[in-house]
Amino acid sequence: MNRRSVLTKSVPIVLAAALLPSSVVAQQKSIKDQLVGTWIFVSAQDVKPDGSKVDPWGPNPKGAAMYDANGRFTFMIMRSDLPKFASNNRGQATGEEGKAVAQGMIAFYGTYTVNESDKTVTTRIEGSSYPNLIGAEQKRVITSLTADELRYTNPTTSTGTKAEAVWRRAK
Amino acid sequence: MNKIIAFSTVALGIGLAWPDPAIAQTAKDLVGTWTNVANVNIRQDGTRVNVFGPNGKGLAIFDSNGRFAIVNVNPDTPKFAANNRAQGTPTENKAAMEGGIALFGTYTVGPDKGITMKVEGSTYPNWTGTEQKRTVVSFTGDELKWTLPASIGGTAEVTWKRIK
Repeated sequence: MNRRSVLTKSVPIVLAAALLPSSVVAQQKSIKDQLVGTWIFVSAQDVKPDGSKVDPWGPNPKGAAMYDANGRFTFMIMRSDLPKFASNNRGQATGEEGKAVAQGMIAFYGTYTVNESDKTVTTRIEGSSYPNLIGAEQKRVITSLTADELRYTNPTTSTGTKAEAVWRRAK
Repeated sequence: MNKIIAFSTVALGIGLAWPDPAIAQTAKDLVGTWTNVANVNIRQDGTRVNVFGPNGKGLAIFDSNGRFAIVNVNPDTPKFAANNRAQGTPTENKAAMEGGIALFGTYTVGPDKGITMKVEGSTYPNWTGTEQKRTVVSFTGDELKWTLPASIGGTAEVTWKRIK
């Protein structure tokens, strides 16, 4: 009788123990879950082959990246000193305006996947302001990810360099 | 008679409480990811042109905290021969400007069901820092159509479909 009651009582305990690891795991969010949301661009520096760093985005750059829970994203960065078009018409840039803007911004969207083990994010670009990126696949290596900040390196940027980027989570 | 009155009261009650499904009621209705279905420029003479060509496409994301991002592109824009974004020819740069627009910022839906977007940044510099109103022409929950003064003059009519 005693034995049976011990058995009966121990069942819930065993069950609880079996459930425990999953609840612990649930608290350690996957990289994917941590990435989902809206991020505001802080900075990105191009790292030249000799190790020197160049900031292509100038002071107070603007940008946002949004990663949805279903694997889609938008991404854009722009310098804050881009010239406004004198014509006030997007289709009527002067040569200088077009050059400054084409060089001073990037935008694209598509789908993304996260490799949890090597901490990389692969983006498949469906549309981009820079036509050469359309259809491209890019990989970013996450170097740091907290609740409020995301840092990664981009091994191959659209200007042919490596870049280190910092983003902060939008509040 | 009592039954009829009771029925009418119930029907009226439902009618009053049930939101018009054809119009976005709150910002909450927009939350999610949308794929672009059409982006039409309606010129002053009434002619309609696909702003981003016959294969124009794009994505819009509205988050639950009031932030949004939109990217629209013409996928047939010629690639840069130099294969470097900083080395476009004047023709390539101009085509790239005409072939896409992206913007991000915050959004709200007003009592008139219009969407107000505060644009924090745009690939079209004239839009950066502006507050823009989009008039919701139709909304079915999964399809959204709005109009706005176009970035190339005339009126833009933009249709989105919710991605599930």
